[in-house]
Amino acid sequence: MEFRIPKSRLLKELELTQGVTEKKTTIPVLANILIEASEQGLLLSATDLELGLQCHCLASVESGGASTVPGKRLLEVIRSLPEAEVKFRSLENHFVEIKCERSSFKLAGMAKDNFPALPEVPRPLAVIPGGFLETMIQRTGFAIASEESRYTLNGALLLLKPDRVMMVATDGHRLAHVERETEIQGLSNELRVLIPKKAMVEVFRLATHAEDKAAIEFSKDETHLFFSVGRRELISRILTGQYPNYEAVLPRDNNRIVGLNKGELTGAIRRVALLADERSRAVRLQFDKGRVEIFSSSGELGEAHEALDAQYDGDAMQIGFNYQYLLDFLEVAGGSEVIKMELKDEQSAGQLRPAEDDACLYRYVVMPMRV
Amino acid sequence: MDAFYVSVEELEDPSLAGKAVIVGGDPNSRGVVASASYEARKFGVRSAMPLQQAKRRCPHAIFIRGHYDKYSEYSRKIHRIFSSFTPVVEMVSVDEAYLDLTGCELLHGPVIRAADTLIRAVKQATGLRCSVGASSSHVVSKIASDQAKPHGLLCVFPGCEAAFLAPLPVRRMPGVGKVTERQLQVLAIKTIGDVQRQSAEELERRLGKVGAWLYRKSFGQDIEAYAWREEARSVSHETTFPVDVTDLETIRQSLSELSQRLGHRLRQHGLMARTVGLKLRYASFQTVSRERTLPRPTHFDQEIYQAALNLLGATYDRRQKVRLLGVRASNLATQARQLSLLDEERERKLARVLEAADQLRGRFGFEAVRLAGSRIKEKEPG
Repeated sequence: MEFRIPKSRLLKELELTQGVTEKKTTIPVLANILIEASEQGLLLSATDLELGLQCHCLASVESGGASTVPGKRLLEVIRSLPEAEVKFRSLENHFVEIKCERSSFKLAGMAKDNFPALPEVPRPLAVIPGGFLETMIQRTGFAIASEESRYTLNGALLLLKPDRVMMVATDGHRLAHVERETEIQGLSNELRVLIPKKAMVEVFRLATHAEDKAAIEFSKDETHLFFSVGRRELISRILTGQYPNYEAVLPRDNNRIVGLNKGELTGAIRRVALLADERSRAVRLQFDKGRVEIFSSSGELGEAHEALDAQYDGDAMQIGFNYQYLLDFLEVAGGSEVIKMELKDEQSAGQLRPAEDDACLYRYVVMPMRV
Repeated sequence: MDAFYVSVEELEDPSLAGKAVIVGGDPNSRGVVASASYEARKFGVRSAMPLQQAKRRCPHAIFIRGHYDKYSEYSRKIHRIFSSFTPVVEMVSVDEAYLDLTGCELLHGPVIRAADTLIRAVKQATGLRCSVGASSSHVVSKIASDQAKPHGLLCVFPGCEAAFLAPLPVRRMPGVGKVTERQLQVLAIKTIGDVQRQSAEELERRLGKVGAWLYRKSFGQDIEAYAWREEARSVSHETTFPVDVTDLETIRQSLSELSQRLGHRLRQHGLMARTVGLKLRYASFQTVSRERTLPRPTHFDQEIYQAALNLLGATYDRRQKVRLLGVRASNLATQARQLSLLDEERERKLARVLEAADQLRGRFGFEAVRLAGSRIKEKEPG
């Protein structure tokens, strides 16, 4: 194997593979990146057996072949090089020589045969327009459970219909739900899949790095999900199982509606949260006509409160929330200046949403805390 | 109460009176002494001492396995007597309570007389003897009642607290264990009086929060004026098997039992655990402790059991015999509870079931209600 490639072009691909390369692995080859050179250029592959990423890129290939080299070390080497052309050449005993201007490296690799084969990407089932999934992942990804005995909560539900895309994530305490109308090419039926959290992160990275908001081609087989963006393919092990019936928990008769300025609310919660109980993260919201007051107290730290104006003319009520759950929503709620908080009572789920929707319909359901 | 378990046994079987009696179990097993008669204590037998050691010190002692349902029954009787004395009764264990007599002077007379009446009332109603320490604070009353044992009354008048405590070794102070004692020894502090002579700042600098706490207590001051209770850091239950076990089912059953006792205690104190820990001591005395933090705090028996069971699976070396098993709840939270979006209905029901179970336990003892699959101690023959 022997090829030449500009440093910046290779670096971009290597950076993308880092999220997939396994760092703490018991299978040494998973810490490596597979480099395959052929007439079509380069194919870089990384996998942790749950997730795989393949990046195609152009290079001047003098002779074809394949090698695996440690991913992290390779990235560090390439990153340190000057902006110039980098030469690769495979040597005996799986060594790879890397030369750039006056620098020269000899990196110990491993046999290509040890590297697990990634599944073939099947024909796309649906084409999701560019720029869609990023926003959806951003607005739901944080609500995925990070540790949960119900393992289906460790992923988000993606629902594709011929005329819309929906994404739902919940950790059992709060639920984020986005929906956007668009024509999905190639789709005749409804498609429901669970995307593991780690795959969501990587799809997001791929989508944001794609040139000119490239569309995402989606496909699946019995065991894997495939997302192709431009010349890069992400392959994820499928998450199977029963996703909870989220529709049953969407509030229907929350008739206490409060309008709040998003910036003011975010600032107030951040300040009051400084003296909230560190473990429970509870803050108390007290609603009265035309205003809301936010309280926190902690036995060790002290207490804080702040009042803000609110559009509200219902009965006085109070409710407790985990402040982090509120901030998570406010940070990604989009451009609308006003946030609507729709409540029922202090024991029932509240619904938060932007007062004016952008292209996405976004709703966030959060269960209160008993304080 | 004085030698509570033993005294109850003596009431049930008067032939035991005046003899060296030890409640705890078979002296050849590896249990510990739960209670020893004063006769046995003369030979150096103490609570929590391994039974085998007790047997060596006092070979002629009569060993009894213990009738815990009986003890609970007597404990409830005593509680009733206390409650007829004053509405503010804080039972801290089966045989220990704090009574607040503030404002009861007209009813019971001066505190010494009130205490005397109380001791007589308990003796008359149950036949059991108790000791009373009376003072202006929990900590002094506790120490005074220890000093008054057996069957005594010690009253420390307001203003005399510091002088009363000064000559006592620091170890007498509830809350000072081996570790703190050792730390204090380094500072040449042996008695509570030595603590009083330090400066509060110096103690706090050397020992952290404990230092400030100890300083105030050394003068007999409670941390809070009323309803004194140190904030619990952890709650745990453990059991030593009569014979080392390898049978996984037996271990699981015990784990279930311990988890329920833990859950019950947490609920009684209005606490929730974020972290559940498992303690395993093998026959070799090698001890392993593992803990795991839960996604959210809990006080449900089943969730504690499940977490403990997972830890068991990850920890237990099945080649070894298990001597002791323990479950621990730490990282305790009191106030706010996050409600669940998907399981609220189920959790509400579960909470109601456990509440009902706890009420039954309050009336009939812990063993009245248990999860299926927990270990049930066999009744002693006869």
